[in-house]
Amino acid sequence: MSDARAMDPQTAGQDADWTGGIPVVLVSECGACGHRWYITRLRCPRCASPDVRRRPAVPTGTVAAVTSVSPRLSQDGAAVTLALVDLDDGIRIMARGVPELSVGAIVEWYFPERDQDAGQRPVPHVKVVEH
Amino acid sequence: MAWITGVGRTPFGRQPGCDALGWQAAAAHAALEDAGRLPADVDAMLVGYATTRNHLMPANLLAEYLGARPEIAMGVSVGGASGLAMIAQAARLVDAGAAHTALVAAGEDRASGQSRAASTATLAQVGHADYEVSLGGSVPAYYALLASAYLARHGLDARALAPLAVQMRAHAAATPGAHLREQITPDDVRAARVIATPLTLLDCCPVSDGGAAVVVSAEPAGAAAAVRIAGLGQANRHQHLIEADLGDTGARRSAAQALAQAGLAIADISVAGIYDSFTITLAMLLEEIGFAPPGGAGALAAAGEFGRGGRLPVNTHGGLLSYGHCGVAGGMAHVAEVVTVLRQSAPGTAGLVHADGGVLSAHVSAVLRAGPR
Repeated sequence: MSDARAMDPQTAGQDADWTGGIPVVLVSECGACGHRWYITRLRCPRCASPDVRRRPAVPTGTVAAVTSVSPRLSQDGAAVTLALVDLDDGIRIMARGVPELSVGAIVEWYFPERDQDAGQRPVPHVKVVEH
Repeated sequence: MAWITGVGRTPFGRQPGCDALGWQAAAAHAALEDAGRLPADVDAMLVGYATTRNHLMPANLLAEYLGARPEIAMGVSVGGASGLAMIAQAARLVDAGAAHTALVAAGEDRASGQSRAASTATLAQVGHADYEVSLGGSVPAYYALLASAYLARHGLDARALAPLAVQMRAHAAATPGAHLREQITPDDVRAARVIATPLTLLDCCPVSDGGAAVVVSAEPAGAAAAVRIAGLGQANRHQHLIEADLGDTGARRSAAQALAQAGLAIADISVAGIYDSFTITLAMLLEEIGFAPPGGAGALAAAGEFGRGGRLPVNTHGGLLSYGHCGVAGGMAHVAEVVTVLRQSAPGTAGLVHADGGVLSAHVSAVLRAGPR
């Protein structure tokens, strides 16, 4: 029953998400046990099944942590705000945000078009969901 | 179980002129001398990585330099937990009869052997290369995120962590060889420049040059009282922050395993050496291990409970926050300190050392007990 593609370390998990230049956050889901996760893996980290399915993650989630990092710490000298966001899909992602972001805020991920227009690799951002 | 018969710890600080191997050798000679042993007596050599050297075979390199010809040689990389992980492994080798005299060493010219940018970039790699580092992640940012979640969970403001930095500095003031010895107040901590909110410069350990080494033996040796390794524990439950369970990082499991092996309860511990790369690291470890109530580590520090005369003296040398941090040897300095305290204590007195690597990713705990004089 093995999925030849998932067994091949050269091609498995290569569905293009933002790390491959496609502006989307993907969630992986195990077809055998239902476990969901974020980072690229050959097999399910809970049951080791090779039946791994990837789909766009739900956009909404809750901010679990946020920090605004000194420009002195970044390679390009830019100030950056980083957040850990617990998506409603049950996965935790790291994303960029604004310094006003607070823990507990309801947000959604997006990819700023300006970055793509500028030819930069897209990275996930989050913004507060308007009520 | 095995004994710690020798410890060596060089001064930490910005001390140009010595490379990683030089710091390792200085600490190793001091530890061997303390144990009354020669390099030729060493039959197992465990050496931590150095970011400034990045050698494939650090134990063989140091063994040759010292003139040791050990049967067993290995390098270890579990981040800041590497030193204690090597001591644990040395104790297991001794217990198994595979080694009689094991030398564990680490040292690095982390401050003066590379630029600050290079050091930050190397350390950031404990984060996920694609999903964290590419966003602008760095070690201070990862721990700042932990601090953000911690403060929100407990309804505290950033000031809550400052007493931990103040206590470490007070300890360092009385410790020869400490990197930072100028006394500070909680106001100084908050007024220092921001590194990554809510952490300021004084919530973060400095980057230092230095070395540390430990000799683990099958029986007591040396002029000073030997200290018994009474219990060991380890836990490795995630690598990256995005995969971590912040309520169960592994610290409690690791320490509980070490205490159980020693047949002791947490209340039996009289002195502690707890990894303190940032104030938040120390707070989270003290609380998850059970030395402080949830959200209460800073308040206990402010009340003096972790001072030399307090209920549980913690990092009486000043810790990473003030004695300094030169990589793997930084975590081993806590071992040297607890051993030194236990040597002056009544037989049976118990201490606990805990180290973490990565982003609370790798945990190692050791319960040490003062042996007979």
